Amino acid sequence: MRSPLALAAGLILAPLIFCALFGLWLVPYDPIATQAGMALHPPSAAHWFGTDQLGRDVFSRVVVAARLDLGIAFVAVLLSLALGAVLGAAMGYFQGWLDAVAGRVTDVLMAFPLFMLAMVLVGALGPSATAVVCATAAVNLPFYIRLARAEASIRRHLGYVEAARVGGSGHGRILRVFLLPNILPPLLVQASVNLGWAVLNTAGLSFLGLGIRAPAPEWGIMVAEGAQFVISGRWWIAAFPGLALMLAVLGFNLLGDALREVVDPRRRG
Amino acid sequence: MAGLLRRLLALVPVLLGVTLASFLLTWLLPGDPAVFFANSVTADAATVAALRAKMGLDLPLWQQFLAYLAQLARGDLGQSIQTGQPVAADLLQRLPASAELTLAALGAALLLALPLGIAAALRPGSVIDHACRVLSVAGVALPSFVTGLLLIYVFYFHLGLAPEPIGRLDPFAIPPPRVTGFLLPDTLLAGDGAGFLAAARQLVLPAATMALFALAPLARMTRAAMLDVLGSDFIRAARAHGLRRRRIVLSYALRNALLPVVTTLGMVFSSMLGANVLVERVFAWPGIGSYALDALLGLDYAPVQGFMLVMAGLLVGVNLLVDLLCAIIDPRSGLLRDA
Repeated sequence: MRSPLALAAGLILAPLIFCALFGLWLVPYDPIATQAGMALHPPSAAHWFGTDQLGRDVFSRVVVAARLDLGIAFVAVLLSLALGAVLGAAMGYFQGWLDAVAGRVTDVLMAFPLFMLAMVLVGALGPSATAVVCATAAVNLPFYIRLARAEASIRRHLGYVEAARVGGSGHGRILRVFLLPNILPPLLVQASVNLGWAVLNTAGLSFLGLGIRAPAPEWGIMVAEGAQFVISGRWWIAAFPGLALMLAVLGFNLLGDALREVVDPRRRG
Repeated sequence: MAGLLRRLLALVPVLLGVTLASFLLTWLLPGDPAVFFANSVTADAATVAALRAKMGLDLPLWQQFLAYLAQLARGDLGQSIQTGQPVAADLLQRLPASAELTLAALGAALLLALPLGIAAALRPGSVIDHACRVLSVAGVALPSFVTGLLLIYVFYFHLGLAPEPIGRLDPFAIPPPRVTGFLLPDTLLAGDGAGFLAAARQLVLPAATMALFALAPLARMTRAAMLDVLGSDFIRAARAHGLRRRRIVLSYALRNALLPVVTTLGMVFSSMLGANVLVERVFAWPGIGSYALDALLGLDYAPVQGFMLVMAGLLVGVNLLVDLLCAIIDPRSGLLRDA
């Protein structure tokens, strides 16, 4: 992992993950406490990123928001990775009716633009972090299923799987011990690129007023609240959370590129 | 044509599934439409029950789905509660706004991404190549709603070059007579030069926002595909035969490199359809994305269903078009092979 890509990804992601884990206890101001007299101050020594329309410290809010945005993305991607890997591997290994039915369902899910599907799912599930997690996971599931299915169906007739079968391993054991660990690397590459998308998706949904609700500190909500002030030149309310969001997505994308180099050395360079 | 026919037949289950999915999803949405139509939350239980029976909401789900299919077959997408109009009419009225925005953005992105990717592949390691790589890594990370706001801040607030982000036309301007619904051609048809310029000025920033979003994956794929092709034997052979560089690059290499680019184009279009909602919200653009969002936030079923069907239909159509284009670019593979 001595590639410049991995280094860049680490440099970007480490502070963000640090903020997500410990930011809550380190920020100078309460991210939710309003201060009417301090509204709309530009960045200064006391308020590094300025204050918003309710006098809240933008810096504190941006730092604390990392927890919600990154947390949702991690849980959602983990969920779709786990479900997709198991389901896809089973489809590729057993084939038959499971493959046919689940294949049709993924085809239908993939016929919708992803973000739009997430929008409607969150609308159906109601405004909560859980809803955003479920919607993001569900929307991405087809990609993991397809990848896992393809990888598993290539391997089902390979020597080591045949050997395991001859050696008396049942289907469950073959899947668990021999197939899943082997199909994991390409799925992990997919997952790290997906993390960036999941962060964007979460912020996009709350930007539209779906999913996470104000006053929770969340990058998408903060950009939405700052949007009305951009026209009158008060850029800092929307710009800093937007920048944090961009860095997070950039970091995960770079991490994905770095992982791909490790997993698939043919595409190095 | 057998391949094409098979491809078209394979669309039937997908379209049916899409209809079922959008039916089920809106059935999951919170809120009871009968209560909405009863015009008050306090309507007594008997009134609501009567309405439910009248609207068929008390039937088993599969019967409701069949009724929904029959309704769709008549071209009826239902009625919007918020606008009081048939959903089909609402969507038709707003579709040109979204389409004009998306197509302008896609066109701009292609016009920039193709030359950029080609130039980067021709001189690996040059300044252009590095610019292309930075752009394609950074561009994917740009949230479209943040880029939009940034453009507004720079071009509207600071430089004063762009008009206020308040939709397709100044609210006091008179819209041109509707022919296509696309403002740029409509103003030209009406011979309204000033109107054309005004509409174009409104379009530039949102289209640029979407174009930036689409540019990165297209440039990245063009560069990678061109690099691949330029290293292959037939290009070396063409070079060895002393063909002109221009001819080698534009007609030999580009045509072979176009295949993955066209496939990427399909994916880019899909994510642009999704991003449409965000960009329309930032620029108060009166398209189908903001229409569907208002309906979703207002628990208005029918427009959301209609929007999902239109989106999925568009996407299925675009993917078909991509497959057809691929078959035309490379007749050895794809739909028209066994023609």
